[in-house]
Amino acid sequence: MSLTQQKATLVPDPESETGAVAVLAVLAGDEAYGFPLSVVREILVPPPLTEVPRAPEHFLGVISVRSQIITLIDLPKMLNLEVEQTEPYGRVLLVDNGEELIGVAVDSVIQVYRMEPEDIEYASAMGAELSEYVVGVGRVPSRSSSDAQDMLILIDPVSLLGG
Amino acid sequence: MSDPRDNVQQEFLAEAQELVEALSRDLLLLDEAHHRNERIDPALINELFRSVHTLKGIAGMFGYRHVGAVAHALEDLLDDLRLARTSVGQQLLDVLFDSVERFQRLLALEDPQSPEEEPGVQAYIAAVRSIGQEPEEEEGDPLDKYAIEPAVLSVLTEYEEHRLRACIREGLQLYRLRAAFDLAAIDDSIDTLRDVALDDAEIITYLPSLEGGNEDTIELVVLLASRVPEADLKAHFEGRYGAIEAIEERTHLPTLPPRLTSIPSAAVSMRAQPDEDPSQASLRSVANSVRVDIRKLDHLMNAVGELALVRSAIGRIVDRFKGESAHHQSVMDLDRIGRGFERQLSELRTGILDVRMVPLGQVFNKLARIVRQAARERDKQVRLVVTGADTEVDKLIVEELTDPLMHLVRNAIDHGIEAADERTRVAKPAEGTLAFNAYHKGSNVVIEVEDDGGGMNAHMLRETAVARGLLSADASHELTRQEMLNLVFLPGLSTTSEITDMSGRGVGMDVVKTNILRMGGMISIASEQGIGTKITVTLPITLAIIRALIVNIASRTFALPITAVREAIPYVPEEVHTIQGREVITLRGETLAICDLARLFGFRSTARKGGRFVVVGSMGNRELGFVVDELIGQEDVIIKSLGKSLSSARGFSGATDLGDQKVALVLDAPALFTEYFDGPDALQALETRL
Amino acid sequence: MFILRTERAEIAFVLARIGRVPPGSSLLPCTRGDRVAFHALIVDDSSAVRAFVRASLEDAGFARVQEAETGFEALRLLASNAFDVVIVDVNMPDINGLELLAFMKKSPRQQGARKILISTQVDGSDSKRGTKLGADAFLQKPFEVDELRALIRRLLGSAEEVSR
Repeated sequence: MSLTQQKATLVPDPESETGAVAVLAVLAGDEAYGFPLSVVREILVPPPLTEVPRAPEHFLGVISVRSQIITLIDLPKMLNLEVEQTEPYGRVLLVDNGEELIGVAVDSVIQVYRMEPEDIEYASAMGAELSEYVVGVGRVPSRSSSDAQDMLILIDPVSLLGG
Repeated sequence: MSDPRDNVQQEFLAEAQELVEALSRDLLLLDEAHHRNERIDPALINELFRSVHTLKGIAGMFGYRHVGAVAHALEDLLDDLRLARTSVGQQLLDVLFDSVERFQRLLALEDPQSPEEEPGVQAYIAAVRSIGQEPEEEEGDPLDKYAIEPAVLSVLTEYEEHRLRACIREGLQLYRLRAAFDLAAIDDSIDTLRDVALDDAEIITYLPSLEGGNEDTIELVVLLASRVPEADLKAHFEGRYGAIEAIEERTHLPTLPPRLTSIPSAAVSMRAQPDEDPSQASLRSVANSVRVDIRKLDHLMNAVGELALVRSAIGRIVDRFKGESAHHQSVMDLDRIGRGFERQLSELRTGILDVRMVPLGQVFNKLARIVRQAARERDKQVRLVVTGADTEVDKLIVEELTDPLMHLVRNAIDHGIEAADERTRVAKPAEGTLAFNAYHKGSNVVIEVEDDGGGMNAHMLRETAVARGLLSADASHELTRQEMLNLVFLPGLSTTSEITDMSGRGVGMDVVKTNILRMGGMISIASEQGIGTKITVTLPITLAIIRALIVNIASRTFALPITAVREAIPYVPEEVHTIQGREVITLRGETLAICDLARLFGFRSTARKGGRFVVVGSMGNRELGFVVDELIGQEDVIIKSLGKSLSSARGFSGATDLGDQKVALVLDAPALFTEYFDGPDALQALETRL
Repeated sequence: MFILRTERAEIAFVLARIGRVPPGSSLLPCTRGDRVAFHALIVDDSSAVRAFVRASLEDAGFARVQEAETGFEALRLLASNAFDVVIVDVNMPDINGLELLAFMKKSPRQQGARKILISTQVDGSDSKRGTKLGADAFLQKPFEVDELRALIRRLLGSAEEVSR
């Protein structure tokens, strides 16, 4: 899928006049990531996990949610980031990738940010270094200091095992 | 505001698909009637016209321009046919059959208005129009012949008028039948009336009359046209319906001679059993049926699964308080309620499964078209006999079955049934017979594909297998005749040059067999040289719920479909030998290869030394023992797919929820067999071919 | 394809187990929204057309739409409901749209209903006959959402807000 198509998943809030996007920020393995709120169906306490033997490393396994079998993935591993996962995952996001629900294991949920278009830098503009799953990078007000900004790695759910 | 059409697109596509399928079915009937030189039933032409007319209408509304254009051209052609301006011929039939594939292609387009399709569509329309005729001059309006009340004429549509005129031109007599119907049951009553009328009369229209009706009943005046003598019609109808009277002709006009001299026959069927008439069955069921998205059914099944958890929870509470005498009565009540709940749940589950069932006739109809096509291509005469089209099977199985059956049919026609002259030379009727049969047997469905062709040459199969290096010459001499026939299922037996590639993929009997096995079924072949071949496919009725053996491997739970399991025996490590790098044991004097699943999956086995088991799996004529740590028991489980993302995980065909959010992966026996015997590369190759 | 055809009876059986719709009753659609501005009936043998009309009218939440696949079903519904608008396809097997109009003309309960006839040719004989039988307006296939809404707005008068 081309990156211009990927942009479509960051659906602007219909109420907003400026084209702002609601983004859910989460923490996973030392990095902060952002998902368009419109595709996050649920946030769960991690249910029991069933491993799937011989599956690629970024697949943690499958979980059962209301009798539905859902694949659970490890986000940093999908992006090929070297991460030491020491703590158990705190939350599972159920994300709609356009075809099915995918479970994304995260450490914790930070909050929902309203991001204006000027806060987002698209991967296409930054060069081709980033993984195909990343739409770009967003800047949000820092949680620690009032002047600085934090960076969110914005994830394209449609490319996550879908399309 | 969003365009409502977007949401309704699915509805359009589903309806369009059905119309095209109806078109295909009716064309087959027309084709057969034509080839037997039988009288063409005008109702059949009208049905064809209706299908195309409706398709044109909705295609226009939903922006499917090409579909609409093709439908329009066909509508004109069928109109010519209806009004006897042109007659049924080979060219006309071919062009009509072509339309089916064309429609399916056009409906599947991403962009229904795609300009790329334009030239093809225009060329086809030109071909269609070249068959139609110029309208003849009318010899005066046939309607003038009859004294039909203006009130009746004023409510006839143009369409119905055409039919009326056509009937009159054919020399049929017009009648008026008055009958009262119960509004609540009117659909069934009308169907019955249609059946009763079928052989003798053509129903033009139903006119509701306000006389003689009330809140619950309604009187209809039915306008009929018929060739049958009035006395017979009276006898036929008057008993169960009201009065029937002929509409008088105006005098002094000569009646036109009937166009055909042959005696009208009963509705043409695909040579089905007398109780089965595919065209009528389909007409009847449309009114009483609804379209359901099967994914919604999955959703319902999930909900039922959740309810089952509720039931278990109630059971646990009951157990917890059972001993205490304080609330004994309430606890017993709760227990009783819990069991009643369970019964309802079971019925609900059965009800949902029933909804998923569709008649195999759907597949058989598709195959009938293939039969006609293939027979024409190979210049062979083939007649198709279908029995058991009503046999119901899970919708998903029907979807999976189409390709393997298509291949069997092509095989039968390409290699099985001989050319006409060859057949007569061996004192067989010039026309070959291909038979489809289906019936339920226990919790399975059996489908038979049989031909009266030349049969298979077992010895030649053996020689080919040896020549291709699939079998050693020595081993080949030990084979029984049946085993020689079964060689046809070996991968690599047929060369690609012989395989007729129909669905764009390489096909061979080995793929057919793998597909069948994958569905948890079996396939067997019987053949006599000079007499014919019969292929029998046995499948579970539904894939949704299967019985599985639940096992533990390294503290993790797995399920193995019971159809793949022959037996389970204790695992005795001391009895294991190694032959050519493979571990084997001896079971009743035979060598059984075993596969340690814990090792295969990369687990560290955590079982106690003596307590493991070997589950003997059986696929066709191969056997493999799976080593597991614990046998838990047998259960009916609902298999859910693992999702697209995990389809690459080898060896699993899905997962099932065992309750309490515990998930067991379901082992894919055919895949495990292939991986073990043919190597992981073979599995890879097989999967890309599929 | 994921769509399959199933018997109504089977669906009714499942629903009965859940307890919401008693067996034997017809599967009626639910009302969308609390402000029901008008009650409409669409009679057409094509389910795609029925779905399209329903979506066009219900979208605004101001219409309660019932469907009939055949003239017979329509007769049943007409016998026990009063509709503000009845949209009828002329070309249906068995009881056609004209016959339905004729019936409605003589039926006291349906005197107030506005009748729209769908046909393939607005100036053909079907339409002429339709007018004589009391049709208030015609829609030619294929028609657009806006055409339908505008037509209904016109027929029901500006008192009712049909759509935005």
